[in-house]
Amino acid sequence: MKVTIKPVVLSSLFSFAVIFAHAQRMKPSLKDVPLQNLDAFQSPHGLWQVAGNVSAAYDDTVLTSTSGTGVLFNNYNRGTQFKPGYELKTKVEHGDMVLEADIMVPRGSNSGIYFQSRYEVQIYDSWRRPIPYPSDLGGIYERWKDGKGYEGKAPLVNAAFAPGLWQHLEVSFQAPRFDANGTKISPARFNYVKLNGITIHENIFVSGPTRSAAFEDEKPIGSLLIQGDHGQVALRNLKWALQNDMDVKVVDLSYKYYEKTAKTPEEASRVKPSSEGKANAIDVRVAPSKEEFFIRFDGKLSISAKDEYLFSMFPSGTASLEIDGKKLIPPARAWLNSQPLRGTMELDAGTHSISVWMHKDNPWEAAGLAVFAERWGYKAVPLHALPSIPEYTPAPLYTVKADKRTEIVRSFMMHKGKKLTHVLSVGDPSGLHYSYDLLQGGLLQAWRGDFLNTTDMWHERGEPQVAAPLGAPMVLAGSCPVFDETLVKDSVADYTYRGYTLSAAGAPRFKYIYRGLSIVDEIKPDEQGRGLTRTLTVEGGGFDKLQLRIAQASKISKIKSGLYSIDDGSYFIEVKSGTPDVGLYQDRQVLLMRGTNSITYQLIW
Amino acid sequence: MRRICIIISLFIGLGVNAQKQGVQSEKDFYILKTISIPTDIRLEVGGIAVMSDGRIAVCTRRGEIWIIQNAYGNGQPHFKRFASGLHESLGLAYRDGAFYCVQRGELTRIEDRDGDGNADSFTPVTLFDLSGTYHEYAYGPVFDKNGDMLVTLNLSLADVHGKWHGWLIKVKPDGTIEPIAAGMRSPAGFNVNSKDEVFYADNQGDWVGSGRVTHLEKGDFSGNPGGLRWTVDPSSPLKLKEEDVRKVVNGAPMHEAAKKIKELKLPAVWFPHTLMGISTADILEDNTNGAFGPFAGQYFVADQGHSKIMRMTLEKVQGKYQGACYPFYEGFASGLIRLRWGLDGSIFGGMTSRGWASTGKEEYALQRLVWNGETPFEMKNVTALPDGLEIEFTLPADAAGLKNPMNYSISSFTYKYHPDYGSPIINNRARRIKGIIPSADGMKVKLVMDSVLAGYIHEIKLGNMLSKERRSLLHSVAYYTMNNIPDGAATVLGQDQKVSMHAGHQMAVTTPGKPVAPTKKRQTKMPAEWGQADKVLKLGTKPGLKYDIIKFEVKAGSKLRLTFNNNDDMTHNVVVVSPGAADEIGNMAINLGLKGPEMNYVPSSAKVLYHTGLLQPNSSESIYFLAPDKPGEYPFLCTYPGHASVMRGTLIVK
Repeated sequence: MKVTIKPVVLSSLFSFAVIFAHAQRMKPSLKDVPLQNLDAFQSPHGLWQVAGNVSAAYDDTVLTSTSGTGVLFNNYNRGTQFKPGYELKTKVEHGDMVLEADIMVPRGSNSGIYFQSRYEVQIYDSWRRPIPYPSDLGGIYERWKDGKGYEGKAPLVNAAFAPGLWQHLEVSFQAPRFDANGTKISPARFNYVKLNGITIHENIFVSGPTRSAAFEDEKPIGSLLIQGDHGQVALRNLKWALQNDMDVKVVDLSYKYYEKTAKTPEEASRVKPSSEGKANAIDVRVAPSKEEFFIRFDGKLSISAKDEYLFSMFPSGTASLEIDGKKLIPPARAWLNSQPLRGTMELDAGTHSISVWMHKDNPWEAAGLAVFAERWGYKAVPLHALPSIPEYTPAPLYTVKADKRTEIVRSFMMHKGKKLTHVLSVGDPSGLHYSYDLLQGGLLQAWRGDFLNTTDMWHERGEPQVAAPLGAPMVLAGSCPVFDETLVKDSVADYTYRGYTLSAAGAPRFKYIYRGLSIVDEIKPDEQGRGLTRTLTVEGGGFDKLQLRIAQASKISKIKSGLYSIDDGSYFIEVKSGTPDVGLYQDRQVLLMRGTNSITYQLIW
Repeated sequence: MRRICIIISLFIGLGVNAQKQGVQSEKDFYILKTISIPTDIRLEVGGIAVMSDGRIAVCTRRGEIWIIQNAYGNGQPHFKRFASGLHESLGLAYRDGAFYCVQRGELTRIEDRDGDGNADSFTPVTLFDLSGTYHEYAYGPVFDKNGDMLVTLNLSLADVHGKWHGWLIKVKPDGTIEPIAAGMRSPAGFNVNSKDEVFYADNQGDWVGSGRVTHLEKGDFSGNPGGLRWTVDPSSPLKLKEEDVRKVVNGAPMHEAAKKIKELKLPAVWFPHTLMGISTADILEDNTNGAFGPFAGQYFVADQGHSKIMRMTLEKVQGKYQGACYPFYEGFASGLIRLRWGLDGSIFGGMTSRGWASTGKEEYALQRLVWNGETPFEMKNVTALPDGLEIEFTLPADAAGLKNPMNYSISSFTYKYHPDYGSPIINNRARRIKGIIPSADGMKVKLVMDSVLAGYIHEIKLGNMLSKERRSLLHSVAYYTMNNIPDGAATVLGQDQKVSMHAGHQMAVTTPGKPVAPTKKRQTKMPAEWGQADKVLKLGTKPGLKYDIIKFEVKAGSKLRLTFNNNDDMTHNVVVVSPGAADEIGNMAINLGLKGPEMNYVPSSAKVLYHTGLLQPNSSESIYFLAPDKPGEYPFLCTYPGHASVMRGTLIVK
């Protein structure tokens, strides 16, 4: 794939950051790397296979695979350790790109993904390691010279889950840049790396190939390489998008600005503009009034290759985009911080006419207008001037730490896209924390690391009032622990919250009343740091008819006696005494314990 | 002869003012003490509970309860965290060994059962429904004589609303909710007085023209219809719906609307916006039997935005409460929202200003106001007569000043009742005094008026009156809300009590609502002969009462366009003044009083060179002017009351 090499001045590294910050909110659409077979890869060694699924208990050193397709699996064995030829390389070579994948390793395993076969993001079993190193899961591996390692970058937090679970990796990579003579003028970099939903690197430069890279030189493009000689690894849902530079620009642009005298293009055509002139780019700054105005930009769009192009607009009001007279984005209202307005169109190479207009009528919002053009495999190109988006300073971070004693914070909280209003989060000095829905007695999420991000509660008025975990969250169903299969909506109306008492260590014991029964719910960190232990105790007669719900998920599978993999490898549940049943609730599976007055189970992740 | 007497008494007044004994300030009678807060505690006070053992408990917006020892003493106070994990707790009470705390979504009973000084039991007395928007705060609880708890719930500003928000509710010990009254918007402070009556304060906002205190009884509707959606509930004591209110409302004052909406309860006392605070909060009844000064039985009302306490008096006329408000004490360190009596008759004030700017610049504070035993010379009480107003003083007033008509100025005005945010002052008229009857002991004076207006707020402004001991009047303005006029015969005036037609201040009658035509100092259209401006000055704001640009450099005589974009959430203007005149113009603006808004708070002065109008939040205005010919540093400032001292910049003319 041809890549346009453009000379780039070092200072524009940071202007890329400004454009990128906004472009980042438009995640490029990623395409699956097909894993029905190994056709996407160069001469894969026989140890690399395609499987239907893989699984393991958290203490298994070996993954068990089932036949099928969709999972890329390296059935490494000791005999191949550190030997060349076991790496897996893609046929496609990439420069800038965005990648996502689920990764699973068994206990103690080791692998890595090398971007351009040169820059490694480490894959490792880093479960429960208190301090992450560059050699831990998600780390940018160190470089190597004269027998010594240097410049490795440890993840910001250890976001690793237990072995035998799928862990989600997201990477945005930027290749080094070279001038016309082939001299490197800017280094390779990771715009971001996220593990299990949490950012572990952001805007990190890598000065050269990392240890055991396939090449010692640097180039504009290279294959993606997965290490195969250090341990077993499995990947599924591998998706990526190239982010090459493309040549799209607006030329011959002119603007018309109407201060409160028009709301639509029709009205604008009937009055004289308050001001008009030429513009180098789409720029909201042609509007001196920030309160209410109508602006339009008309010009030519220059396309260098025929393809399908996606246009995205972030306006501050009602806006529309037309290309070649066609309303590609019909008039609609949106804001700078909402989802963009979008439209897709196939365009030939050459010049096209382009028109953009916006009516701002809400005086309470800042004025801004951003327009991006995208093409699959290419980076979004801004058709607007950088200052067309108002300057924005992120709020400073407010946190609650639970380093010395248990801390409790009550807040609103987002859970699976919904805002819950009566949520308690409990932070433990062991570093294992959870959030709990008081109205349903449901465990919402759990995480390791630092406790809670309270910026949206305590910065200024705290309008969102939501708190968020400071570590990679393990999101659970959040369902009420009592189960009633006759319920149409999954919420138990008569599960009544009665408050909580605190143990000597400051940990809460929640109390509920349900149909005359008193239920006590206690959640504690597992002593070995594997996760949380939850005990539900029922007092009062009639508990033999009660069904207690331990988990609810799309899929629940038994790994071995007492150990269940929930949601196909999202987390484990271990039950030491008693045998749970796997039942059905609408389209989901539930793990239930019946007829007992006390259950204890372990949530392991 | 009389004229000479008047002139002489004026001179005496002026002469005495120059003496130290005459000029007094609030600090000469009340001392404000600060409780030092440890640097690692963010004590954003929401609620205060005064304990009988000498400790004070404070709950905060960070969800913590701190217990403070030695808050009354002079040394370092001792702080201990008692509880945490509450969601923005804004009210606290202590009863029978347990704390009762109101947080977002719950009224909670908190106990320390094992006695180790840490709370270990959190039991919901009742849960509150929440829509998930930030504005749905809860306040209270305040216990009534029965041992039930009163709670008020803030209205959401969005389209979604949790149940009972906008209401005063009673919560019984078993958790059942009895809804009492609706119509609230931001009921951040309320009081249950010694007669078990409930008074609450609301802030200027949608449907609320200005801050005010309303007496709430079961079935009342206090003005904002947002919470009326819950009158469909069978337990609701009123059936009024929002449509019923909107049908009737047309911008006429609340007093008119109340004739058509029988549930509408008029405020007992209006607190005119910016003159008497901007965000009325907590209310205290003085039941200290004189330990806090000469105002026993009266009320103190906190203001968050202006960091001060005002005073309020009440009386019943035609069976309904009405009364007056007076300035009392300003200078608290942060946004004052919570007041509670200390065990010794001092007032504890809890403060926070995060999210809402306040005159007191600290982010949070806890202070205590103590009376030093000296009696200030004040208007103690203003009450209504069938044909006027009676003023009672705290000390005997000097006879000459008392009967001097030049010392009294009365006007009446009101506000619109409409869905909009706030209201301008409307129907502002001077009122003529036709008779003055001082009491023999100098403690009272009756002002007999040509007429008083039912339903109107009456401003009483006194001149430089002195007490018999030559103390000056500490505060010289009061606002009496004359909802009803008392029955009774007209006052009979003796010859020497009558006031001639021409004496007294005559304030111009103002026509409400007419826009001020552009003047030489405020040209909003570019002069045709300019062609274009030489320079465009773009000015906006930054949080904390600041302009975003504080220096502009321009050439003398150049053509300037100044575009001010008010992107703040408060009203501002821009006034360009002569070098060195910023303080003077700022002070003159504050003294414009009721006329301020229609004058855009721009005083008439040769030192005002150019100015914009008053700009509401998120509006902008451009003015065109020539830079002064003489090089120098010309200040520009916002003259809105309370802003002038900090919101400034400089136009450097070269």
